[in-house]
Amino acid sequence: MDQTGTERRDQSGIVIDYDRLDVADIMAQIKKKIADEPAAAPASPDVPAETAGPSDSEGAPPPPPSPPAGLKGKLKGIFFKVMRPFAPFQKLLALPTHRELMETVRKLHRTNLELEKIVAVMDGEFHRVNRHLLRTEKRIDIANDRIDAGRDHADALQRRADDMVRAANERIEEVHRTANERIDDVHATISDRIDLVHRTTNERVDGAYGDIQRAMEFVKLLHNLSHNIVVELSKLKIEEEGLKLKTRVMEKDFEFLGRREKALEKEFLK
Amino acid sequence: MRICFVVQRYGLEINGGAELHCRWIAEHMSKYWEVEVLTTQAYDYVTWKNHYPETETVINGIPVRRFPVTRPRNPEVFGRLQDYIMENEHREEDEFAWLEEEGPLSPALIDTVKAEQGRFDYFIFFSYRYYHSFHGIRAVPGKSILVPTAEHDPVIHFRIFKDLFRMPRAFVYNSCEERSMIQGLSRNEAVPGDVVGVGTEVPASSDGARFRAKFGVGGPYVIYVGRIDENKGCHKLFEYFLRFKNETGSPAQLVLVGSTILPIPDHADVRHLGFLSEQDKFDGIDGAEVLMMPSFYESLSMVTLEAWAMGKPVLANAACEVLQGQCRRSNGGFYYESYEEFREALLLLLTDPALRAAMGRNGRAYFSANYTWDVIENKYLAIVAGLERRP
Repeated sequence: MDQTGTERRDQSGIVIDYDRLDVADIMAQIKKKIADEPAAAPASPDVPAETAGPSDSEGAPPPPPSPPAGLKGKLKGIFFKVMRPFAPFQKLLALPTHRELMETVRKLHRTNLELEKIVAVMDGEFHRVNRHLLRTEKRIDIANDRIDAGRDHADALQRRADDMVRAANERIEEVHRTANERIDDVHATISDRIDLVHRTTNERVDGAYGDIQRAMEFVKLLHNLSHNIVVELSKLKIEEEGLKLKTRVMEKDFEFLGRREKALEKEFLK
Repeated sequence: MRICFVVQRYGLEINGGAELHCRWIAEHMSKYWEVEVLTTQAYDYVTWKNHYPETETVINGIPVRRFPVTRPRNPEVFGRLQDYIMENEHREEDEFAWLEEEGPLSPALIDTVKAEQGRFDYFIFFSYRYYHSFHGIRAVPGKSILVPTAEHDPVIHFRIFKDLFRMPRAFVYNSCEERSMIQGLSRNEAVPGDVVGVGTEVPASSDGARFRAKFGVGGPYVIYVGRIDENKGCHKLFEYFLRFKNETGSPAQLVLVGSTILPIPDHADVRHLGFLSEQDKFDGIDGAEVLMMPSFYESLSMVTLEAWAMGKPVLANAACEVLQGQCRRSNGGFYYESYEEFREALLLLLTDPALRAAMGRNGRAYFSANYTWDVIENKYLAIVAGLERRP
């Protein structure tokens, strides 16, 4: 088991980060491992390492080992020569290739069975789909007939609709014409009324304008009058003040003359 | 706020599926809302025969009203009709006939939903495929919230359901995959919704050693918890596990917890313990190396969430997109599409304790972020608050 921090590779080759566990990632690794399994099977420990080497994958058999020297060696040499044509067959028997072949045959047999099952199921499905198709075709035919009938009916309806539209248009035109005439009459009446109102209003406005002009003249006169009154009043006020002053001087003179009179009387009576 | 939960069955005895999901949500949300449940008198989900005699009861503080099923389901008739519809071109009327056979046929329940719509602010319907959801949502579309609990089931392609998926005011999905599937089928992106699911609680203490001692389980084991049924992929689990044992010579045992309707393989390393108490179940998960989840169709596997809450990795069937998506998002489980992937993934999990621990940590973190009750309750409150904001 490899271990790097919190990440660890399981015996089965799954890499797991224990701190940030990602189930989807682990499941993807499991799926990949399962998918790889059939490809890895021939390299299983059942097969010796040397038989799986690249030289075995080539078609030509390897040359026989050179015979040892002496009589025994000569006999072995003859034996090897005689047996040389059978060398590929010997190799085939000696190697575990037949096991792989048998395994392949078994797998093919199983696959055949599966295929037969699938074919049987597909056959059933095919017949079912066929029945559906036949039913659907019949329905399409019926639907086509109905569509044709529907089209005739739609044409008749279209003609009726055209007639109705034409009649409606004529009626609309008549209503439009009548409405226009009535609108013209109403328009003339309203115009007359507006002229009358306009004329009357103008006359009244002219009269009112003359009154206003006269009133303005009166206002001007009143304004002048007011101004003159103010001037006169101011003059009178000044005069009043002068007279008041003269009165006070004369009062003082009278007071002085009184006192002089009293003094003279005293002198006179002495 | 007054909320009405509408579900096909309801009771303490019903310990799985959308019904348990509904009960848990109703009980938890009763902290925030005034909650009531409308359901049928059925207990058996195959026939919907009236079982509960009482019509009004209180279960764990929640008022429950039960309505009679007027016609129990005949499994043979239903099976024949479903086969016909699946294999032949058919009309919408056939799908309505299928829905009536699917049941539970309880018009009184629908009449009550219609009559009492003024009493409730919202109705939360569970499981799109049953009579009560279909007709209930059509009765009060403006006040309905649907928890579809949909799986990759062929019936979801029925035309009648396309319109149904555009009717509710909001959706509460169990998973991103469920949302994608429903939106892909009905183009109902305009209907608001959120991926919520359901919370779960694991006991504060669970003890694998206690489980081993009590049931005589020695050595490493993997566990399956749930109904042992072909629909849950258990037949494949048996096949794959026995082949795995033969090929790898692993000492692991397969422990099965739950009631069975399948013959259990006669093998020394396959142990069926039947239906266990909650404590024994959690002890069993605690002692296991891996939780096996071979189901093909799951809208949300509660036991998978429980295993993650307890820090256990999961090996799930990749054919179930929800499980595969959750494994990928949480990084807390592997998933298999074939026996070879099953073998490699299980071998990796059984032989690498550090990997199991890392996946357990990831699973627990995923559970805490998405499936604790605080998270679930807040999501429900946010959905209803969102509806209140947009009249």
